[in-house]
Amino acid sequence: MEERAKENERTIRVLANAIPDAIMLLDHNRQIIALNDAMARRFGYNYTREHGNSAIQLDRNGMFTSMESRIRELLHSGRPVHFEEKNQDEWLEISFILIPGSEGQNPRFFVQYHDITDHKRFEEQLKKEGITQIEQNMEQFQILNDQIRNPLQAIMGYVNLDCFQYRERIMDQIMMIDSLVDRLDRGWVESVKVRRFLLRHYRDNTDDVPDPMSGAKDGGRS
Amino acid sequence: MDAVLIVDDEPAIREIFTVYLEMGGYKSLTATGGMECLELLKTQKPDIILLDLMMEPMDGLETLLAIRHYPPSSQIPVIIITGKQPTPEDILQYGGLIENFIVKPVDFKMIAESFHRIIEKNRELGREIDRIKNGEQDPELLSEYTRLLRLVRVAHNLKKRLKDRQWADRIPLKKLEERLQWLHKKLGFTDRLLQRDEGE
Repeated sequence: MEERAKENERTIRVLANAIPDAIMLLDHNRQIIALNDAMARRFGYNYTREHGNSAIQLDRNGMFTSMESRIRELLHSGRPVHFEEKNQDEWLEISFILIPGSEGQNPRFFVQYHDITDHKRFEEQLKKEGITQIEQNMEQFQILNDQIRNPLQAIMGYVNLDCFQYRERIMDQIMMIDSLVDRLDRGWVESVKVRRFLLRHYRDNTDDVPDPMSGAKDGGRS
Repeated sequence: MDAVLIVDDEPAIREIFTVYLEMGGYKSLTATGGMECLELLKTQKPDIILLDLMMEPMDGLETLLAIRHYPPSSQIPVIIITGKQPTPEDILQYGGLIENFIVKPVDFKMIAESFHRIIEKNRELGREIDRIKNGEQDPELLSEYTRLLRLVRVAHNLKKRLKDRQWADRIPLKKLEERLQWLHKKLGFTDRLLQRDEGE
């Protein structure tokens, strides 16, 4: 019987260490009941030696401690909690799963850190490419609108000079084209807002409206 | 006869504007781009400059800054006339350097009629500044005043013409006007400088 229990424990240990994710099992006091090698490496301690220690005490960079509210949420609701957390240069998808205790026993909970750094980097790269594409589109919008309005301006000027019979009708047509270009302009204003939002949130490079009280420095007359 | 310098890379625009300006009693000068404009300013001193924005290799905003940096042209009124819709950033950053921002297409005859008033107001501002400079006013305040005077005028004109533009609310016009009024009183300028004419 004892031999079988040991064999089971060895099997579980092999399985737990075979996965790249850091996992551990904690009691309701955040004491470590079990953890795999990946989690032990994360704590920077040897699993065997630290078995039974508090996860919070081992948490030297404070990341786990900062998750205390999530743990309380888990213990309160009983529903699994999943969230993403950035820890220095790495991104983790963290899961807390409650394991109800047997009769009269306190519940335990399972913690899993899944490294999603590559995925996040790829996502950020896509966003940056998206911003670049938007910037290119905006530039094209601006050039096109300017290029359309130039001949409109010239036509308007020539018509006003010496076209009397159809002047009104031609002017109406010019205004219709101009209102279409206007609609493109409004779309462009929207895209400016989108760009500003993307830059602010994904490029850490704010692009705010300048302070009107400072303005361009060369505006002074005196 | 007041001279108007047209800086635009479109030959048709230069041609038609020239016709209207000469009909309106102005002498017209033309430049096909920013570099040519700056070259021309070494020998000519127009009374007003009409500046297109989207030009290569030197665009209108670069040209504008160069005009303001070059002492002989630094006080010449500049009107931007372009097919590019301005953003609030454009207005806040460059509105203090120009007299007006006009989006094509426009009835150029009407616009041209306003040039005499703009030129005259600019001369009056120059005279007022010369008068005030004889006192002991802070040059920084004078500089801020002229910048705000232009900025408020440009923002007002655009707001009036582009009522539905989303950016209008992003220019703190009331705050700018309050500051302008405060400076106006402090520096003791004539109230005529704050008057806004139709068609300006």
